[in-house]
Amino acid sequence: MSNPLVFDPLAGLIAKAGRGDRAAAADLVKAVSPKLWRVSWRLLRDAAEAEDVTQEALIRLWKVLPTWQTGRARVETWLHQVTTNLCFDRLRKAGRFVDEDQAPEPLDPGPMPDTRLHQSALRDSVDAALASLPDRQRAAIVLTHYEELAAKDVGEVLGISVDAVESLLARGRRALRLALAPEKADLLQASVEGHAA
Amino acid sequence: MSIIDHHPLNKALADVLNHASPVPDMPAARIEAAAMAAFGAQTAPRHAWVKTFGALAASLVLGVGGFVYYQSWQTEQKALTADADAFAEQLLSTDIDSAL
Repeated sequence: MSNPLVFDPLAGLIAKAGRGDRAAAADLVKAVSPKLWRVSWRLLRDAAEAEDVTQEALIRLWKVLPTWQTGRARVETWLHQVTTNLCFDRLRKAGRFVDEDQAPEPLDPGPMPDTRLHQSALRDSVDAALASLPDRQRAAIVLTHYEELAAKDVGEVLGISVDAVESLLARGRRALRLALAPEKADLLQASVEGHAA
Repeated sequence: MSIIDHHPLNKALADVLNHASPVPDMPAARIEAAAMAAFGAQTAPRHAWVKTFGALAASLVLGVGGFVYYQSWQTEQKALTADADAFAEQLLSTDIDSAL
């Protein structure tokens, strides 16, 4: 069965840029580069590397432009896929890639004191919790939460099924909840009570 | 977004995730300059190839067209010359001097 055509809001720019239109190419760069930058920075946590990855993803886009088939995939999804894979490659080369089966099981911190940390301490804790996730779980969280991609699109980016995305997200969220419980136990509890009321 | 995303614990977690460090400003000028330079490098050879091929095609068309036109012109000239010769022969053979 053939895949249905995919609507791509950037299809017009892609077609023009494919014909060598510099203005369209510049508009395309302006439209997509901030998203690629955000994803690559959140996965790599290194501005220089995130810049390299963003540029490399755009260069790869120029290479596929002449043969790009409108309607087969959204260019943003394709770029997210390229960016994520480039980030994973860099993490692997640097020995920083953490696969899920290598990640230590998050420990349940138990009952936590009802304390609110200072804003910067909370930020550090959230950053550390995100950094401690296996990379594919972190990518799923980043793409879903920060980039607001649908599970189907995250599945296309990571090359997995929607069910596998849900599984990654569930494990990632569980690990984050456990890691962040000391700081946010009161917030989580308040949220649950608020919804139960 | 799946139904799991609406679970209260996940909504609370989403609130917590918003406390992560903000993404630093993108070096937009550098990224855009590098991307456009790469775009230029990517499209330039194609344009050069198109120009070269276009010039060759135009030369070929002009060359063939010119040759065909020259051939037809030469044939026409030969025919005219033959006609003129025939007419001259005819005049000579009709003893035009005595007729005049």
